[in-house]
Amino acid sequence: MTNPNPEEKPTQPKPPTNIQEIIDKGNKIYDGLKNALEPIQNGKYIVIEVNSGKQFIGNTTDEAIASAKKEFPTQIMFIRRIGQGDKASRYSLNFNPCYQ
Amino acid sequence: MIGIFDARDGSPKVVIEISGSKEGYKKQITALFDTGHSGSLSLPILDLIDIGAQLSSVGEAELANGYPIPVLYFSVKVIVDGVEKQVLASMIDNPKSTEAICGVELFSSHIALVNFKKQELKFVKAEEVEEKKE
Repeated sequence: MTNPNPEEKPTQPKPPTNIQEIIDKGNKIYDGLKNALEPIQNGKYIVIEVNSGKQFIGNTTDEAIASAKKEFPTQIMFIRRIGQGDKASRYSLNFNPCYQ
Repeated sequence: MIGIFDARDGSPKVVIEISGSKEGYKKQITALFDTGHSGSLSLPILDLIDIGAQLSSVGEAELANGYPIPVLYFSVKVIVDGVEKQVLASMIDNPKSTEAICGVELFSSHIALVNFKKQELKFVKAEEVEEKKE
């Protein structure tokens, strides 16, 4: 379908089209919230819908994403642990190896 | 959900059923049980494709050298004690890695009993243990 008025700028913000864009926007929003979140909420998880900037906090990743998905069921959102971020290992991510 | 000790490598593992967006398709997997994994589940890329898991969210994890790498989280349903649970599964993007890893978040309502001497792994519902105490 072609735009009948190509010079008209879209009113809705364009959703991020790539993963790195979501991560960069999410990190930027998180940095702005850092002082309000840390250290009080350290260890909890925050999900950020990067277009609206809306945040959802939960004790676990599953809890945080469940509340976010109620409002944004199809949107791909940014998630991170408040305080110290997740560590990656040679096996997987979010994982501190103990059986080696 | 069955806890086992794998005789091949002596690791505690859990047999679980996972599903994604493919209607009625469930896959039984054996996942390494790791108490150092703070999330619910990490799945090899081929398992995610097989069940048709949908991308849900993205984040970052830090490598030992401090370099951040992107992490993809998929929506996966897991059957725990006959109850279907929606969890976030991070993708294991190393194609050589074919073993799933389950973390403590998946068993947040359970107590894990690991007997290394007898090579036994059992999961008990936390509320059942609390009821017995009372």
